[in-house]
Amino acid sequence: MTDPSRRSFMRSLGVLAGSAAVLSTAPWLASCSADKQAAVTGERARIALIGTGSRGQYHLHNLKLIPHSEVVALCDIHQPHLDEASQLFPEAKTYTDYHALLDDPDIDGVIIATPLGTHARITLDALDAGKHVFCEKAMALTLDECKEVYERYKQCDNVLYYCMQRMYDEKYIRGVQMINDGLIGDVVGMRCHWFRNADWRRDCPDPSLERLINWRLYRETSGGLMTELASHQLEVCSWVTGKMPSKIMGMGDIIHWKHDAREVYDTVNVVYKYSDGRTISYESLISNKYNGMEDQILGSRGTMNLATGLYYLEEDNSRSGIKQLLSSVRESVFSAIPAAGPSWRPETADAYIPHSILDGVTHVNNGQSTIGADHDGSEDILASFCQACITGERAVNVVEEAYSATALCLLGNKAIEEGTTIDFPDEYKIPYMKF
Amino acid sequence: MKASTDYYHENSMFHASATEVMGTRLDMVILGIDRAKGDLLWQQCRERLEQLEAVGSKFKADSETTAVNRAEPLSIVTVSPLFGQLLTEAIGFRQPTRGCFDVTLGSCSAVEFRSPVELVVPASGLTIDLGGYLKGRAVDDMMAVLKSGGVTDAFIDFGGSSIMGIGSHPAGKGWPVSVTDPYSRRVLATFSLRDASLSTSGNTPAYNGHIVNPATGRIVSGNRLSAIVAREALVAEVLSTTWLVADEQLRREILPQFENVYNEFVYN
Repeated sequence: MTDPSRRSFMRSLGVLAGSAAVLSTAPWLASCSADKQAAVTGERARIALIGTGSRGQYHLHNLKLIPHSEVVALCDIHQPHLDEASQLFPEAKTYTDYHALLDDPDIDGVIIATPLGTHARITLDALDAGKHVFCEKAMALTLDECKEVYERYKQCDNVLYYCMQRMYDEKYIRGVQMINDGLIGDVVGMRCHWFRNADWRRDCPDPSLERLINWRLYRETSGGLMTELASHQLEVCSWVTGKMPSKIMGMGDIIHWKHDAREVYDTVNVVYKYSDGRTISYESLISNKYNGMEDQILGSRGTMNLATGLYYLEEDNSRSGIKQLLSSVRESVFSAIPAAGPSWRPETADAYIPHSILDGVTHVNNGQSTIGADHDGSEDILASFCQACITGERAVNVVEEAYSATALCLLGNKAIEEGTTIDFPDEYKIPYMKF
Repeated sequence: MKASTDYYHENSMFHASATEVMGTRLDMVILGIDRAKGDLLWQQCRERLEQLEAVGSKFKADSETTAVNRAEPLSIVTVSPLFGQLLTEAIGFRQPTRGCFDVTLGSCSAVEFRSPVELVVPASGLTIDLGGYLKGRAVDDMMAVLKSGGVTDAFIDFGGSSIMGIGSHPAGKGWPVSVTDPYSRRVLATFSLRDASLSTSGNTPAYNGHIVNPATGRIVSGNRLSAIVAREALVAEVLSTTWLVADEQLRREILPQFENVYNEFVYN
């Protein structure tokens, strides 16, 4: 049975995609329109999953809720994970070598949920095998790999998605649209952070499996906090500004989780500067979670906090109307009380009033799960990919956004390592980027 | 719902304020009343709001509306008598508005009650959004509470878009309110509410794309605003939503179907 809450959300994504204003903000939703969703009714994309660890299994649970998908194959080199996944989809064929899986002609699309260091190789092999591909972020471990994947994508006709789920999260879509509509004035800067207090380790039953299970902690397989966390948030900054920063500087270190053999930083601070002087201030650490996760877009007239689904106005008129009415009674002044909208007389705010991007209750990811959150857009981007496996329709700009965000993450790490301000290298610029 | 109250002795003025109620906020000002009476009436209003929310709010995961929206097509859902009454009343506005006000976004004709408390979900599923209807119903019900408590002068503001004036402001006749263009902030019209309700609908810079034309399923976009003044808040709500999607000719056809509509306009 399809989860009804899912079904109704897909419906609302279809309604969203029917709005020209929304499509100008999020052109990749063009393939999600209600008409296009209806067109695949009764059809099923044959999906294979490569990488059946925690994130892969998260996708499997979501696939169970996507009626136009059928999981036909599973692959992992770690047998216990493969067995767990197989319990979720007992009918699916199992593989321990992804090459053999890619040889199967009865597979339309593959989901790659393997360690970052393997993303590029498997993506390239899958595209060469004629499969449509959905890959976890970040795009790849190195800029050269990103460029190679990007160029291969441009040369082929296959569908390629990266799990940049904020691009399919309704509160982000609406929030960015509000920014484009001028709600917070000129965007003057961005502050993004992601804080957790956990060692980022997974239980490892055998020391020989350490680098496989805890791949996030080692540089041969991971870019650490920048690729695993910042990639989502930096994508949002590119999305909002439509531009790329031209200079990057940063610092990072292992300050708390010193007592294992990890190689990636447990704290990073990176500043990205645009050619017009604006900056993104990015900060992440995993030994204090007080500040949680936030994506703040700072405007001359307000602040959009996309992660929490709230915005705040510098001059907030929303509450002064009723105060004006109370004053008019107390002072016996008979004058029209402005209603309906922002006409209320400005007041000197002693505190910012939170306003919801989406009216009513919304799903907010506090950023503490190391696997994935419910209703954060992951299900929707996956549903969109499954639909694309049937129609062959690419999602506009998804690969370009993933490339841009990954480049910023990798350059952030490079800036930290070099200890200098670096320029965005010309050889990694793509036509999509505006500086 | 989070609520707080204030009392201004020198003006015998009671003010109740609530947030997180039907996805928005509510203010109620009562004049010529003592604190205890104000608290009592507010408590009664609050109970009614909670009842309506438990049944009809799409923002509450445990409301009856949410349960019906999640029900499988062709299943039979047991609902409360209040839910049946509200949905029937809400659906009843479809015909006089020529389909422009449809709380089921186009599935009205397929809704079938097997008994007053048993709803058959249509084959296409059901998406009920009682939003505007529920706010209008709530304001009318609160007015009834206040009038039965002997209140003669009061002002209710539900989310800035559904406003009722009972009696008068102490310094004049009625309660003067102005409607402004949310984009330019220019005052578009001023109304005096005396035992009357104002409802406005439309897009704002902050909230664009929430109004769906039930006939086409398309979002009403752009800078469009409607305002209706009527005796009943519910009628004002229904018509302000209708006025956003109906053209001029259709509006002239629809207007005679409703009584006690004092003023109406659409601003494009």
